[in-house]
Parts: sequence; C-alpha cells; structure tokens
Amino acid sequence: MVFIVCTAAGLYKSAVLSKRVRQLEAFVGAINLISTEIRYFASPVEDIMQKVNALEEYAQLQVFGICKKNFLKLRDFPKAWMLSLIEAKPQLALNAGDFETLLWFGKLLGTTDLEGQTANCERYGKLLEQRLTHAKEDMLKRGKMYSSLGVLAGVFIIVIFF
Amino acid sequence: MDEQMMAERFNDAAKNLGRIGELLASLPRQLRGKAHEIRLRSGRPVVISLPDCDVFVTVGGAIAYSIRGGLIETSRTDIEDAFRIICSSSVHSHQHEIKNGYITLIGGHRAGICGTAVTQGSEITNIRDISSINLRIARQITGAADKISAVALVDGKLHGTLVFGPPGCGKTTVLRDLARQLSCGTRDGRCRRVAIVDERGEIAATYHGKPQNDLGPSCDVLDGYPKGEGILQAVRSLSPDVIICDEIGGENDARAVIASLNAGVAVIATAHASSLDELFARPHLSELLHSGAFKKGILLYGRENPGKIEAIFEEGELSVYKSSRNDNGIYSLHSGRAV
Repeated sequence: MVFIVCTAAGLYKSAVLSKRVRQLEAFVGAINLISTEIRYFASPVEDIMQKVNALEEYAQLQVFGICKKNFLKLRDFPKAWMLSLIEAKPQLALNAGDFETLLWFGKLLGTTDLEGQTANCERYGKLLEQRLTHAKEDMLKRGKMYSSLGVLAGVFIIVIFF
Repeated sequence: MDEQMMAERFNDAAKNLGRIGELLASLPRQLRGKAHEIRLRSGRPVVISLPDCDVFVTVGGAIAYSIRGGLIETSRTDIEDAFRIICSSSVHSHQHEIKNGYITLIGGHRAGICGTAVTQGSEITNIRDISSINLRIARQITGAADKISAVALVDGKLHGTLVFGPPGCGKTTVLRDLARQLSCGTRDGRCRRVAIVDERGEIAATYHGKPQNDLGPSCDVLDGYPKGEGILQAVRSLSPDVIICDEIGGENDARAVIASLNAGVAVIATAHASSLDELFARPHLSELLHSGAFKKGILLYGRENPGKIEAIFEEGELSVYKSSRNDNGIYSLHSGRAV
C-alpha cells in the first residue's frame, strides 16, 4: 500500500509537469489564433473568446469559455479575463509565472489598435513559448526523476519500517 | 415614436456609459423620452440635449437649466470606462470608426468621440486622451419619408432624388425610412432591391454585421464602404433597383453616381446645403446636378421641423438654377414648388 501511494505521488508530480507542457502549448496556439483573428478580421474580444472556446483543443483550458461569460456580465475584459484565470486555476497545471504572463496578455488585449494588438500577441506568444521550452526541459529532467523518486521512496519506506 | 419607447431607447443607449448611465437610467420618463443626446465631457457636468435646449442633471435626478452645485459630473475614469464599454473592450475592432470620430453601438446609437488627434502626415490615424463622448440616441421614425417617397416614386418608376437641407433637419432619418418603405414595397406593394452604401454607418447602424434599424426585407447594406466605391460595387454585384447613400459631395461620389445612372440604377442621396445656392456652390454637386443624375431635389426645413419638406425641385430647375436674392439678402426659392 505504502509502495503504491509513493509511486502514485511520484507519477502524479510527473503528470503535472506534462500537463503544464500540454496546456502551455494550447495557450501558445490560442494566442496565435487570437492574433490571426485580430489581424485579419479585427474581431472583437467577445467573438474571439467564443471562437477560441469553440475549438476542443482550447476549450479544455476552460479559460476562454468562462471569460466570455464573465465579459457578458461585466463588460470589462481585463477584469473578466483575470476572473476567468482564477476560476479555471484548479484545472490548470500552470505555475505563478505562467499565470502572470497570461494575466498581462489579457490586460492588454483589446486596448489598442490593430498594430498594437498584433505586437501584444506576438510578444506574449513568444514569452509563453519561452516558458514552454523551460517547461519541456523541466518535464524531461524532473518528470523521470519524480517517477523514480516515488518508486524509490516506496521501496525505502518499506525497507526501513517493515 | 412614443415617449415610453424613446425612454427605453435612452436607457439602452445609457447602458454604454457605465456609472453615469446607471445614474441617468433613473431620470423621469418624460425627460428620457425627449432626450436626443447625452454629452459627457471630462471634468464637466453631464448634459442631456433636448429638442429645444440642453439641460444638466443633479445627483438627485432633477433637471437644472444652469450650472449649480450637486450636478452629476463626468470624471476622467467615467470617460475611460464609457469608452471601454462603447468599444466592447476591442479598440482594434473600431479603429476605423474611432479615426472618423464615432462608434456605432448595438441598437443603432452612435457615440461621437473627441480627444487628441494622433496624426501621420496630414491624416488622423487615431484619437487618444478621449475628453468628450456625445452619445446620440437612435430614433427611427416610421412614416418620416411618406411625402418624399411620393416624390421619388411616381407611377411605379423610381427617380434619382437628392434630399438636402441644413444639419439636423432629418435627412438621414428620412433616408432610413425611405429605404425601409422601398424595400417593403409600402407605397405600391412592390418590394424593390435597395442597396445602401452606409459609409458612416448612420443609415443602417450595422453592428456585428446586422443592421440595427429596420430596413425591410430587400436591403443590402454596404457598411463602411467609401461612397464612390460602394456605389460602383453595388451596381456591379447587387443589381439593385435603387442605391441609397448619405451625404454625397466628393469627386468620387459624383463619378460613381453618374456611373450608376448610366447603368440604369437610380440613386437617392442626401447633401448638406440649406439652399440651392449652397448646393450649387459645391463644384462636384453642381456638376452632378447638371448631369441630370437627379430628377428631383427635395429641400427640407431646418432643425425645428425635422423631416418636413420645404420645397421640391424638378430636373430642369435643378440643372438651370440661378439664385436670386430679395432685399433682405434672403435667398428665394422661387424655382421650387412649395409644399
């Protein structure tokens, strides 16, 4: 039992790292889509949130769907975005830095002209890509380590205490 | 349009003004029903424009005719909040409108925006530091074009018509109702294909691709198209019975109207001019009138009688018009047929 719990804990930690990578990849993709929507269609943020949320790969992040609902209620996008990130937090495997980056992206979304918005998407898209690269490195380095540590910790506890 | 409906439209428009809008929504129905515009100026009291005067509003919801204590004042934050709501937090989607100084809102209301111009060369590229917002409440007056449609549509034939008059005389309101009547076939039971070239979004008030005003079942709206290009595009691709556009006067507009005429499509348009003299003083309009593009000219009364016809001019009168003045220096409209 102890062995199973320790192994599961190790695997869970490793899975969180993989999940973070997948979610960051999805956010990078979503920002690219947002950039396209802005550049080619000058779509308003409400429509953008709906379009992004309509795609399954981004809908699982939940942020976009919640943000649209919040925006309809509040009519204040930065606030709606911030609240949606907070609401979706339990489902997200992102760290504080990732959140901060996404928060700033949303704060600036829709506040300037097309040129400014394209630059905003590009900037935050790049920042998230950098975070994604680090997350991938983390996953490779620490993912295996957590799995192994879980198994080893289980074995260690059994050997010492039983 | 009854008072109750106008009061509801007032509230609908005021929703876009954030905190100020909430305060204004509780004003007496009679006042809301009469209001044409709500004006916000940074650091100044809120002004409501009525047909005959402008009034201020106190925090308690009373009307004041002059500046005094206790008036609702607009802060910079109020203006910023209102601007954000008006843009639906999407400045990039309204860039073109902002550049032109107004934004069309859901419900057909229009927010005029004033601030510091950002220029590139001689062209305004943006407006920053918004200092005033003038919210014009949409009103659609069914029947406003009854008399004008009788002039433009004779024996089932549509004539090219130019509606002109001073600012605020109801040209756009009349044009909007005329579009609806022609599209619905109100006058003779025949629905006509109407193409509206709505460069400034004032006729159809399109929001997210949907006209906010009732334009009947057979209207195509070319929203945001420059008039000249829009007219040509409508002729090429929509095969309309009539093209309707607001405020013509430029060289491209004139060329496009003539091209439309050559394609057999009547154009009904408006122009700013309070007399034939003013109309003919504008070179491109003068050229257009001489070309015979417009068979009828309709002069509307001033602001005090919106939509009311002062005189009708026939083709010959429009193309050979010569002005004359009486002793008081007032232009006589002797060539016009009094209505």
